[in-house]
Order: sequence, then C-alpha cells, then structure tokens
Amino acid sequence: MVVVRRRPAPAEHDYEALFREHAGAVYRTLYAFTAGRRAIAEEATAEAFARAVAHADRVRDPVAWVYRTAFRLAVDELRRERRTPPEAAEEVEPVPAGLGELVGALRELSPNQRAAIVLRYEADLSVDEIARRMGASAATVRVHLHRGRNRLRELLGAEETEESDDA
Amino acid sequence: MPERWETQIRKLRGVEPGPDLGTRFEEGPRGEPPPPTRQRVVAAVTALALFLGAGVFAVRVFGTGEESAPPPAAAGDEATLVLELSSNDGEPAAALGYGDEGQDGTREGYRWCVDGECVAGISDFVRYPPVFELLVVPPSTPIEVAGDGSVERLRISTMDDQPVEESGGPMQVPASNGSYVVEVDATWAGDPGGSANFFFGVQALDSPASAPDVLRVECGPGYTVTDAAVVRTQADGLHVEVTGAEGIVAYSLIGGPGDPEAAVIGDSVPGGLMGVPPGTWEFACREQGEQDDTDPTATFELVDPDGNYASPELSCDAATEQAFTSAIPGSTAHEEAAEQLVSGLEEGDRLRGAGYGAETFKVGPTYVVERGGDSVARLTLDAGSDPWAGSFGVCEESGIGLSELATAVQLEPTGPSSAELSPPPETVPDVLIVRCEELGPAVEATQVRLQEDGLHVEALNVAHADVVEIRSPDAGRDAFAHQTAFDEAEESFVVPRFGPGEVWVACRLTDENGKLVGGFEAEPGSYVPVEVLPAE
Repeated sequence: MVVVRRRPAPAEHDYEALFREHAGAVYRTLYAFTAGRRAIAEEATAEAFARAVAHADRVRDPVAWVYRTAFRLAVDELRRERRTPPEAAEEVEPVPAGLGELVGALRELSPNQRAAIVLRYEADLSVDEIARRMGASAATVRVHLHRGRNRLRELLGAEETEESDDA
Repeated sequence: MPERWETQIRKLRGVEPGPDLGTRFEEGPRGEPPPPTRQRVVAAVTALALFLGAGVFAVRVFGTGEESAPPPAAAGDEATLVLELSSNDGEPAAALGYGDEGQDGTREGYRWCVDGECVAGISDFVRYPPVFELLVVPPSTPIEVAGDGSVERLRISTMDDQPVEESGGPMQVPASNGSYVVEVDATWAGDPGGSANFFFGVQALDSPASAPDVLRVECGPGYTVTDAAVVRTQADGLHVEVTGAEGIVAYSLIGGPGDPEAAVIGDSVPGGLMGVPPGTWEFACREQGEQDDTDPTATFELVDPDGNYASPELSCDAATEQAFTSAIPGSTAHEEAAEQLVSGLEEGDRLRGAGYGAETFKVGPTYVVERGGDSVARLTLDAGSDPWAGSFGVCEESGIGLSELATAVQLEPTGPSSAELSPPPETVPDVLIVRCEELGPAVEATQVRLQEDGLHVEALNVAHADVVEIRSPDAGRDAFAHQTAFDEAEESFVVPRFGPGEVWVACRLTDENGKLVGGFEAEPGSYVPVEVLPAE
C-alpha cells in the first residue's frame, strides 16, 4: 500500500532566492526569444519575477509561472513596438561580440522556436520541462524543436550528432 | 560531438543581464492589469491627438489596446459601487471600484483644455458597446461618484443596448440579475478641464445560483468577450455558446485552478460542452494561425451551486491508494460493480460518478464517495478489465473501504514527484487512433505498439480531410511516408513497413486538382509525433 498526500496549497517560496538562481536563465531564454532584444528581455524578466511576488498566494510553480509570464510580457512589448511608428521605435541594441551570427540566425526562427531551442540546448531541459515553462504541450514543443533545429542547421551548419527530444 | 549550431546556441551561456535587473525586480510590478479579469481591448485603433490653438477639431483618437493601469483603490465599502472621475494624469479618466475589485472605464471621446489649448478625440472600436470585462456586484448596489469630475449623464443598458436607467446623478445598479453596460458622460470644470464619456461593464448577481447556466462568448478580431463574469454549471458540464465562430479553429479554457491545463472544444462550431471543474478560467478563441500564448482571452468564474460536479481529487491531506482485482465479472455494469466494491458508506454519503453527470468520466469509469460535498474516496475501474480491476484511493479515517469482493494488489511505490493521487498508467495500445480535426490530427495516445504485421491505424475523419499520412520525421523529403486516402469517414489500415521509433502523423487536404497541399516541408507544425514501440 502506498501512502500519498494531496498536493498542498501553494507553498511559500523565497522569491529572492529564486530570482538569484533563475533570473539569469530566464533572461537568456528571453534574450533568445526576442532575438537579441536585451532591454525587452531584461524588463520582461524583472517584471515577471515582480509579478510572481505580487501573486505569491496563487503561484504554485513559480519558475514555470515566471517563464510563462515573461514570454507573455515580451510578446506584448514586441507587439507594442510593431504598432509604434518606426521613427519612435526603440533601436535594436548592438549584439555582443561573438553572438552576431547566432542572433542573426535566431531572427530567422519564430519566437517559440527560439525559446524551445534555447531551453533545450542551452538550458538542457527536457521536453516536458520546456512544455511546462512555455505553457505548451510537449507535442507542440517537439514541433518547435524539430522546425527550429532544421532551420538552424540550414543557417549555421551541422556536423555529426543527432539528439533525441525525449529526454 | 555537438553540431555546429548547438555550439553556437551554447554561446548564450555567456550572456548575462545588466546590473540593474535586481533593482528593477525589487521595484515591483508595473503596468499590471487590474484583477480579476485580464481582458484586453486589442481591437481599438491607434491614437492620434492634435494640439491646436484656439479652435477644437474633432479628430479620431485611437485606443491603444494596452493593458489598463491598476484602478484606484475603492473609496467606499463593498455596499457601494464607486465611480471615480479623475484628471490627475492630465487627462480625463474614470474607474469603477467595488471593494477590492476595480475596472477602468473605456473612454470613447473627450475634449480637454489646458491653458486655453484644447485637444479632442473620439475612439473607434471594433465592438459596441466597448465593454470587454464585467465587474460583479449585487443588484441594486448604489453608485457613488468620487473624484474631481461630475456626472452629466449616467445611462445603464443591457448588453444588447436596451436602455434600463438614465439619470443625471448618482443612481444604482439594476435590481435584476444580469449583465449591464454603464455609460457615463462626465465633465471637469475649470482649467484644465473638459469632458469625456466612458463605458463600463457590470454583472449584477445576488448569489451563485442566480448566475447564468450558459457561457455566451463573442469571438472577434483580436478580442474575446463573455456576457457574464460568473457562470454556473449544468448537470453535464459547462455549456458554451459562441458567436463570431467564423475563422476560429478552437475554443480553449486555460489557466484554470491548479495546473494550467487546457480544455478544448471547437472546430468552428457555435458552442459546445466542457467538462472542466469549477474555478476561474480564461476562455480563448483560437484563430487560424494564432499561437496559443497570444490568443485574447476572457476570464470568468465557473460556480457549482447545485453540486453538479464531483471532484476526482480527494479532499483530505492524507490518503491511501491501492490497486485491486475483484471477483466481479467484467460483464457487470460498472455502476453496479462500483456499488458492490465500495463499502463502509455512512448515512448521507453518496457514491457517484466523478466529474459531471453519471456518464462523464475522465479516466475510465471513476467513482467517488462524497461526504458533505467533499470527495473522501475514489474508485477507478480499468476499462475493459474482466473481472473488474482498478485502483482505490481513500481518505484515512473515513471508514470507507473495499468490499470482500475485492483483493488488494501491491502497488509499486511512486517517487516524490508522483505525490498526487493519479490514475493507473494506461497500457500502450496496439492500434494508433487518429482523429482528423481542423487543428490537425489528434491521436488518442502518444505511444502505440506494433502488431506482428505492422502498425495498425484507425483514422476518424471529422474535418473533411482527404488523406492521412504517417511518416518518419527526420529524413527529409525522401523519408518513408505512408498515405491512405479517405473513402469513408473512418478508415482502418495497416502500415507494414514501419519498425519501432518515432513517426509523425498528419491529416492532409487536396486542392481542386486532387493534388495534396501542404506537407511536411511546408507545414511541419501540422504533424503530430507518436512513439512506436516494438511488438510484444
């Protein structure tokens, strides 16, 4: 016989510790998601953590919550930019040295493909974990990964290995 | 050895945020939408305001579609609906407050003068009245005006623009339950000063039992609107009626209580039935080509005053779970088997099907024992087992147990991440069942086991697909693909050549010349992956 316990109400989380531990990773994901928009990535990251604190009483899984919120905030900001007249739009920040080719290639992917790829290959997360953080199904994530990988191979080149998404 | 593109991706590990990120975090949230709804006026057009000298021109002003700023704190207690008219930010604004809840008014037109220079404008909306959310208040709630503006006219109408009340001063919410539009014409005397009109939405509701039992949703270009913020269940679930379904490929419920699970109905149908539990949900109309995370949503509360929903989740903190077999033949109806298998019910306890209605089960035939409205035991029968077998979870000290007709079977301990009660894992089917929908294919299981003669497939055509295609995913154009054309609404076939591994499944259409459109290269997103396991 197995004793199981019902999932408790949202636990109290140390958001400052979560911020210290995860903010960099969230930022890097958003940096890729926005294809190198440093200011948007930073604002979405900080705002998402701040909102998580504000809603701590109903956030069960703060890391996934922060990712999903940050994605949504970044999408909103990118949309807002598209509605802004070009002369008033924020200028694209310079790309850090060594990342120019990568950022250029990321811009050829959809935002969700970028996010899935960076969470899989930069953060080494499983497909299920990526799905949790993106608020998508695992099947959807696999599609994004498959499309994103193919496109990056075209743009950046391939060598030998092939990796499974089912880790 | 990683591919080159992977090496490039890993360069991102050297990317760090700026030094001010922590400071920004500590500053707290900015620009968060007001609770409880997160609806957005996406449809309003762009803004343009011209400052002129002495004269005033009527120019078109566009709403921005941005999320609203948090409303001011309600000035009164919960017995009063406070209409706050303010010009603190240098332009006319209005907000409704009730207790801790609030709603910013949607401004349609205004004229505002500062030092004799005036600006005027009017907004265009794709939907009239421009009400995109509802504040829930009791009927007959008095409306109190606060702030530095004055009400010239306050008009209350039904959502289909039938007038209910009109007044030049403070008044109250209608006495009947229902959803209403509140339109306010306001003025600000002096300089700066001017005038503006605003729209609000309120739902008058005296109790959950008075909430409408159908969720009516309007899907529009860039917006989703419901005609109630509180809806109640019916015996078989949540009933939904949708207008504006053209171009909509699915309706989703997202962000519900607990995990962010989704329930989907749709395929451009004007409504449907959803088996979601009571709680707070967001309804999204998913347009063709839209991503899930960008769908406009409307938030509503699903209430269950009549107890139509029996939760399969046990209400206690500590429970035990065990698998069992029984002496009850599988030919016995599961309702009868459940009654025979569960013992120890107290007076007032009720053994009932989990979820909505007796026939709506989430995982196999599942029954719960309700005691005082809480689920204290759960019996999950394995569909198709003979004799009946399954699993039984029960709250400790409830006194509920299995009858002598059941024999306990030891369960393997579950890991820490499986701390929730969960149904037993399903066995891997040996037939791949594909349902061709407008969204693409839906498969009933993401794993399938080969049979001796190959991969067995049953395809159900619910969206006029012409061909079902099964192919390997990674070999490019020359990958093996098996295509079977639909002659009927259902097709069963065997793909003999497949070995174990991942396959991708798609439902495809033909053009007027009979040529297949789309395909793996053009639309890989329309393919669903399935893992094929070796034959037993």
